[in-house]
Amino acid sequence: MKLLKYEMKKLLFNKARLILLVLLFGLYGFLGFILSTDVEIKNTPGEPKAATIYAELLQKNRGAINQETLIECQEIVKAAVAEYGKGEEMYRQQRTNPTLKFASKYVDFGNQINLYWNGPTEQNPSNILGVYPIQKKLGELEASNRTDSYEYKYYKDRLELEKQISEPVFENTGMWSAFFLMFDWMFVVFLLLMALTFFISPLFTQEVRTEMDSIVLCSLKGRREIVTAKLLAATLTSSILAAGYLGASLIGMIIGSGDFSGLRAPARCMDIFAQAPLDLTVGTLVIMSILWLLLSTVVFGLALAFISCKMKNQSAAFGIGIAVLLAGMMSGNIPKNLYSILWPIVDFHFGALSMFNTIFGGVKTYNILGTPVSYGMMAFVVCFILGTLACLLTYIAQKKRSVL
Amino acid sequence: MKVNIENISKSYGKKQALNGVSFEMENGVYGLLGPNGAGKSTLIRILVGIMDASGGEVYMNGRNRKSCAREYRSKIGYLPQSLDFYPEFSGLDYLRYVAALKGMEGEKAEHKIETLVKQVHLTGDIRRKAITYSGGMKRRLGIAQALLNDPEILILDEPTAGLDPHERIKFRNLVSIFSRDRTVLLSTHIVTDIDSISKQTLMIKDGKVGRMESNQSFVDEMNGKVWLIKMTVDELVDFQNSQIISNVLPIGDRVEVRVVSDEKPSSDAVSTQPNLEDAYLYEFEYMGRTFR
Repeated sequence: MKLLKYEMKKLLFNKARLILLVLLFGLYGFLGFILSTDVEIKNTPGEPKAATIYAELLQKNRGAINQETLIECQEIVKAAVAEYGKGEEMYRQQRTNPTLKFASKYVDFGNQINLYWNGPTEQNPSNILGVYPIQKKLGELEASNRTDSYEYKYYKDRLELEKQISEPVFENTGMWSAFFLMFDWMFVVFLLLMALTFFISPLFTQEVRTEMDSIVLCSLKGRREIVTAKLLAATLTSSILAAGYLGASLIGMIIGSGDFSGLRAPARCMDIFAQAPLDLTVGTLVIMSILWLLLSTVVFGLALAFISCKMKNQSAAFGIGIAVLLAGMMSGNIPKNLYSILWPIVDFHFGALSMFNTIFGGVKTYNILGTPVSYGMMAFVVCFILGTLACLLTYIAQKKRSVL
Repeated sequence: MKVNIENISKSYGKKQALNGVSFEMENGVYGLLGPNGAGKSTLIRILVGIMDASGGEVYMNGRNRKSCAREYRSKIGYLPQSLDFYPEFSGLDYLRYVAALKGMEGEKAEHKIETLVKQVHLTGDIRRKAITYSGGMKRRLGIAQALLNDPEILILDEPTAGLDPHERIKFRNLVSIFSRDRTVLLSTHIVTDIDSISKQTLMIKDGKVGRMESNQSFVDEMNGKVWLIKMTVDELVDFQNSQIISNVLPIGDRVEVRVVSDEKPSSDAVSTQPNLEDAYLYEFEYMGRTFR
């Protein structure tokens, strides 16, 4: 515990780092504030009760889809598009005209219903979506006597899940939509992981810089216990950073919106989770997302600890950390033919692992020994493996470490 | 405590830093003398276990160090040649951190820290950030950390660098008292650091260890090899290119030159009492020239 206390003092609990942390949290809070106000409707001199009218419309139309309302809304949106186009002016109108904003939202909801039953217009042949296309696919597989195939098993499970979750309902999800939208933005995730890279990169390299390496390595606890303390310090620092990040963003959102409604609504009410294979409420998903971000940040922190252990100076450790992060994030742009080789990097780089919207909202599944495994489950296993590997390799590296 | 170093060698690529070094240490102070780049720090790093040797073994009381690495580390105190501090730590934080690294906890650690802080005269500054310390203070803090666990084997690499004469004497006394029932290896190129306190001195040059003898033996062997000659400054300019000069003392308009040489360097040279510094010069300069 004593060693952990001092490692934390070196890594985080010192004046310079705490000031930086406060500044970062301020920035995160600001981002949360901006994003939540951006999706909020604004009262204007022409419509001073815009927010109240919009809230009433949302409240009035909660529940299962009403086809009449949908048709009315489609007409309103169609007329608005004809008048304002689909660009900046339409966006501006949506922020000030409560009827148009509601109509747009209800039309989106109608699209979600359509997606639930019919799937997307352009289907991915290896991952068919929508209740009817899945039923059709199952019929085809049955007709060709392939009921014991992986495909059949996968689509059967998927259909059961879709039926269990049932058709989406219309709900006001308040500021939670903004919460999930914010973390669907790669830049926001990168900002967190970059800050973490800066904080963790000196974990081992500062021993080299101060030449304390010699004293640490020839001390009784300098080969094993110190690694435990440093890994715990990296874990704690990562958790504090992620928790602060989420906390500051939420505070910003509360200041900007303050609308907590929708916590008990099904997660599928939100556009971003329209096809998520999850039978969860928004509240549960918020908690799971927070826990997930903590877990994935800790795993990245442990990987950074290992990088720091192998480097001689902080700049190199920071540079490699950022390179690992960027390489993963940019791997999404590789040509399709390379994906078959590089899919583990493309799907499970640290940036992707930290984006809980993709983790919980992803429809991708993997065939593991004939069993369909969801992206979220795979990501959890990858996190576990990466975290364990990073810890083990750091212990081994410190055991073999020598001073030149 | 008995430490045996057997046939230690170390190479960096083609450069042979240490070549078959063997010696034995028991309780007392052992001086490790050698010029810069002789291999002292490499030998010390291997000895404290922070660098792997290319060959050879270190034994503690007859046991191979590798078989009792943890026990060996618990008995070691080490002061490296250069040492800096964490910017966030006060001197006290630093000592508490090292105490934790050495497995010392609670009252015992606090008491030991308090005692050592007094011994190295840092009481008034111990709560200040260690990076703001002067060179001498940093060195004293380094010495304190090396002594924290009452090590049975204390290894000091250039411990007096940056210390003023008064601090140097204090340090010598501290080490001398400490070494009564412990093994101390003190590496330096400052002969006076070990002149009065070391039991034996080991001379190292170009990665090879020369003789390991008591300081008195080294000095005795120099009898008849140290000379005093009076000359003018102009004469000295020519003279110093051909002789090993250990000291020049101005006397009026002339200088008294102390020369290390097997043979009488001039007819008016007078033989004088040798010291360890003469022996050092003889070993590294004179013998070096003779070999060349």
